[in-house]
Amino acid sequence: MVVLASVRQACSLTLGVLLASVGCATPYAYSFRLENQEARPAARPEQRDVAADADVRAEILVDPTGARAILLDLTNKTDQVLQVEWGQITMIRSDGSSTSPRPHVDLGWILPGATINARLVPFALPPAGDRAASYQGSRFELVIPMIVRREPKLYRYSFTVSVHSM
Amino acid sequence: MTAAQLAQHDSGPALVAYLSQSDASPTVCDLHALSPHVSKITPDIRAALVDGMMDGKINPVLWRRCVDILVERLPRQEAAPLFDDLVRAYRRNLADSDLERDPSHAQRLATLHRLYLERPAGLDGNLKVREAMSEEIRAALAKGQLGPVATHFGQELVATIEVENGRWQGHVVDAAMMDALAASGNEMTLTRFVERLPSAELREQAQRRILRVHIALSPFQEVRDGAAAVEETLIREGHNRIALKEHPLLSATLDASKTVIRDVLVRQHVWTRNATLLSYAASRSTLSVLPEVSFRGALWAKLQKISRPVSVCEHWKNLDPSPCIAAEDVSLDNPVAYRGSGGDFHFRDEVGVAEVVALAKNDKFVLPVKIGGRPAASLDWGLSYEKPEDLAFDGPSSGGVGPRLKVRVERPTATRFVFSVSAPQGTYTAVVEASNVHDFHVVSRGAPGLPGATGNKGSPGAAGAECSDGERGGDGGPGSDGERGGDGGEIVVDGTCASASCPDTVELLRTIILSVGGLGGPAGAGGAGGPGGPGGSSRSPSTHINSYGESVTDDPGCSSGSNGSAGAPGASGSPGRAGRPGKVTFRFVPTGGP
Repeated sequence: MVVLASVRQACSLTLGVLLASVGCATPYAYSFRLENQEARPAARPEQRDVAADADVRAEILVDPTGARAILLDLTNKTDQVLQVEWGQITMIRSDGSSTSPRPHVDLGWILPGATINARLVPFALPPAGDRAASYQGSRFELVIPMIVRREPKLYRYSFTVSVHSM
Repeated sequence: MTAAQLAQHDSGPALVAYLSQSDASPTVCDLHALSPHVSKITPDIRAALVDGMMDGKINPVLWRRCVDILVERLPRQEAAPLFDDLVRAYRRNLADSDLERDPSHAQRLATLHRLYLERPAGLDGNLKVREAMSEEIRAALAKGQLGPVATHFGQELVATIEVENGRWQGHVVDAAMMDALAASGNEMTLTRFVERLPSAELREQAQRRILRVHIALSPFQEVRDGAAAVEETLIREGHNRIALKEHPLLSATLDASKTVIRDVLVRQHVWTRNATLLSYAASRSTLSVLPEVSFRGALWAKLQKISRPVSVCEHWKNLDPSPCIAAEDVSLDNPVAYRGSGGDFHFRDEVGVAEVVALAKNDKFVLPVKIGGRPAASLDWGLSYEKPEDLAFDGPSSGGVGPRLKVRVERPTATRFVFSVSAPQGTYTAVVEASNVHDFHVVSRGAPGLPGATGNKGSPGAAGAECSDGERGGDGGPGSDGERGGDGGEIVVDGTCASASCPDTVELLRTIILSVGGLGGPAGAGGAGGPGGPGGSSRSPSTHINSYGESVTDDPGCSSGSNGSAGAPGASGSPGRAGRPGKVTFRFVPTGGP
């Protein structure tokens, strides 16, 4: 389970000609739950969900309102370099549309046994209001192309979203 | 909107309408394409194209492909204003607060962002426009005025502009830096260098480092063993093409997960003797244009003396050292398919009647794939024909006999009929699915009879004299009878049928191939009765005063007369009789089959 950072700017001040009024929309936090069969959900909100196979371990925290990023730690469990196609990562929404977050700094391959920490940006969702609430129950899939033991592979991490009013 | 219709309209809104459809092909943006395309890039088209994507009408991936083609094909001086438009849209949208909360908005801006960062070296818009954007973004970043998403875009843009000046993260870019990046497998930075370094020599050096990374990761032993030669081949040719004479095809397969699957619908325009090809897919409810077909990563071939299956060569930008089959070595044996300049296959969406009939010979829309001229695999899409308009021919003039028709009926497949109808004005063809054939008709119809003439109007009644009534109007004349409709024309129907099914076939065709008499002309209406004459005028009394001073009436006067009554309307004529059906003769030859 991943609970996200607080939402600070859910209310906005609007000035009329003579009157001042405060318009507030309900702020929400998102939880992205990793649904892969082999996934190990985080024990605490600020921790990362974990998915691993014989070659790759991925620890993922999705933060669409605070950092507006996907925090991804990838560990190469093989004895060969592992290349991630960093420019080809996509986050696909249930309606079929997608975004292409990229590492906030340029990254290379992952040496055997090494871990690389990537912050994939941008990934932002509405922090408040009906548009935020509409994401309740929606599904996302993070697709990461990699070259593992010289073979191209697509790693797919599926999430279900819970939206909580704050 | 088909590509052909877009080419006719040739406008910004038409381009947006076309590109907003599922399966739209970006080749309409290729000013030199063999297929229909926009003829020029006017300021209006540029603006519509940029707004179309930023407004969410055009899918960003398709939009990027369209603009990439435009940029590649346009003369540089014509491509430059496009970048000015992009930069302006970028500045506008970077400041939009929706960017920080709407993933679709962020994706659209990311598309502009990547296009700008990855544009061909040396291609740019107006210097003032660029500098204004750059200064504005640097200032906003320095003041912390941008949200996290906008900050990411701004920082990457500023860092990449630094590469254009030959520097990266404060250091001059040189071979040692590139070697270090290659040693860490950092393709991301090396790719920036390939795209943005100021000198061609440095860009090639960066390209070579990426290639070395790719060669080191290649699953092909022969690539790793011949690294230096492969590197030179890729620098020279852009890909590692296999000579099929030396490595003949052994077998091939299509990867179903990467192959486009559609069903084709043929919409016939029987009177103009052509048709529009449309596609539908299980995943969507609406018809759209035919998709393009790419075999890159979808068609895999085993070749003699190559250690692993290979696919079609990638775009040179991908710097893929894998042995591959050149796009021009792959062909698609389908009369309406052709290979575009990028190596992908496209379909003509407007086809003539001969092709409509040729396609009907197969139950499926068959796409046999050949590699080096040898059959390799086949892609079979569904094929159906929308029910066409009836082939109905009328007599030439009022009451005229329907035209003589010669009809040829063929069954190219068990589920399809082809009707070829020879009439005096030419031959027309329609392909009809058996499931629709009961609702389709071939008709020779007599022309309707002329309508009967309307009867004469009655004459007006005479006006009454002073103090008397007007006379009655005359009665209207009778309408004449409508004329007889023309007879249906003679029809001779030829065809073949399997012996056992001949009676059923002929019985079915008798219900849909018809000679019909024209309708009789409508009866002429009776003439209207004439209006009654107006009543005569009144007369005032007249008096005089006699010698005794008394008033004496000389004339009592009279009141005005009444208007005469109108005449009766004439009787209507009779409607004309309908024409008679013509003779329909069926001359079917049993083929002897079941």
